[in-house]
Amino acid sequence: MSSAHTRKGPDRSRRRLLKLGAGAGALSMLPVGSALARQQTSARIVIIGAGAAGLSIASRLQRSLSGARITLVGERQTHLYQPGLTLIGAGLWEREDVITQTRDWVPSDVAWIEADAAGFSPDNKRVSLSNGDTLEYDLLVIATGCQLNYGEIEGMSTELIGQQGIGSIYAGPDAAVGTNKAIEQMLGAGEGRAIFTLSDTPIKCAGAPLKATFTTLSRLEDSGQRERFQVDFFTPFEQKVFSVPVYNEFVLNRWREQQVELYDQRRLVGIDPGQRTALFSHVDGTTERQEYDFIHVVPPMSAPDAVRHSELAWQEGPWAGQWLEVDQYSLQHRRYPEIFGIGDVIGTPFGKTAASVKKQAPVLEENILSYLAGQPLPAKYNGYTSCPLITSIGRAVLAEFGYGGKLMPSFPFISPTEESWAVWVMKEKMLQPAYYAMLNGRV
Amino acid sequence: MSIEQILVVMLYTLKPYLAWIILAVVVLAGAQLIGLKRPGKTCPRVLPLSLVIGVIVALLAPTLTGSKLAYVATVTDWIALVGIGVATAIYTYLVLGPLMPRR
Repeated sequence: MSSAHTRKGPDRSRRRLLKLGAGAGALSMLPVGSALARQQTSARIVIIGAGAAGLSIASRLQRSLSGARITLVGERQTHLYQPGLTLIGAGLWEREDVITQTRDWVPSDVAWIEADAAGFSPDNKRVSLSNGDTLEYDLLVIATGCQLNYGEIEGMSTELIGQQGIGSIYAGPDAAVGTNKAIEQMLGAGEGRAIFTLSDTPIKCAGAPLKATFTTLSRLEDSGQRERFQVDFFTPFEQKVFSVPVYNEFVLNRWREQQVELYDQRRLVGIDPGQRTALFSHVDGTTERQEYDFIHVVPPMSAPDAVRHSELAWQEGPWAGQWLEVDQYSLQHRRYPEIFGIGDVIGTPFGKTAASVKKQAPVLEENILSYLAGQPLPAKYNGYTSCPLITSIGRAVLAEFGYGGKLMPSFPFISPTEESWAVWVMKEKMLQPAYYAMLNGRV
Repeated sequence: MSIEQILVVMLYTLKPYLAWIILAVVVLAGAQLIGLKRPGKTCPRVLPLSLVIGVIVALLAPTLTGSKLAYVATVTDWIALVGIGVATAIYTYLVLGPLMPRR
């Protein structure tokens, strides 16, 4: 067993230099007071997950705490800018545009263990890792992201993406490239049927399946042969493709105008790549088989097995055995006060986008500092979720909302319900820099 | 978002274009220095030429960002487009003014 500790790596000076370059301008804007007023602690803090959520909170805690031993746990060496996957799938970005190295984002003085969590023992305050080690902690942050359960769709695997007309942008940059390839093949054929699907589980970036539909429609319209293609959307829900009513209505109305047929209350349960058919189940248990030339698969999602099969998952309710049990406002675990959650893994009504992490990270930082000081937790996450909903290649709606579906526009000059070129530019040019600033804990 | 956060995002956004921004500033400074050594009034053709270039760049801006002029729809879109045109026209005027033959 090893306690959480700070590892000295050979890349330390290079990493520092990179951080210095990336954040020099922003650093100069920090109030001197906040840089000096670091809270003293000797707590062993373990952060499980080295993605957007884990890196963001690691950067913040490293800045705001003095004396803490912060350990970041995450196996993946490459960091993926996942909001860019829809743009790769639309043929607008290259795969390299979303890939950076995780080590370049790990803050100095934070130890990084290149392993994943294999099991949790919250009563003993221990985490076992995939490399065989066990970590003890005083405070644990779960930021694992979510797990893509393609295997729950019979006949489906990630190896099929890009072949036999199968696309799915969620599985990473290569899958997004494969999705674009499959769409191009359909376009090249000059006619065909495109099917877009939705999972009945909570999913990360719930706008992505809609964006994939809209960008494909855009490409079909630009080809001048829109009438030669049939585009259908299959949703497990009744007349619903998005959980916020105003955006749901907007999308359904637009699709009616664009001759997209909506097949509701149908869940993708199987796929036959050789025959190019997909099997959908109805709410009454019956099934139907649909032929396609291109299909966009949205896999069922959950917390990673290590989390959902542990004591840490919700024990009852709609997220039981699937997502991390946290208070939706404080982000503190409801039964283990020394455990907090952030990002896609948490079981809350909203909050599975990078923009959600941007709002969650300062809430979590403030609450962790209060917890370590023995104070009540003052900060509340309001469910803020943002999705620049691309409605055509070249325009988008900046959908921003929170708990209860309440609209939460960030900018008074951008309507949360209007399609806009400026929002497109924001999505295409500015969100990635904002995301990287978030990884550095600057916004 | 706070002003401070918006400025941080702007810094991160502009960072990849730093070389181009520096080049633009150098060209502007160079033109102004040359202008200081040249007596006479600014050529009258500079102003209309700058305005034309400003309008052309503004009309091309949506295409340059992977969009279409038809998608410029909201008040914010139009303000951004006009801002691009005005900024381009002013920059062009400040660069061409000192360089064009003077009266």
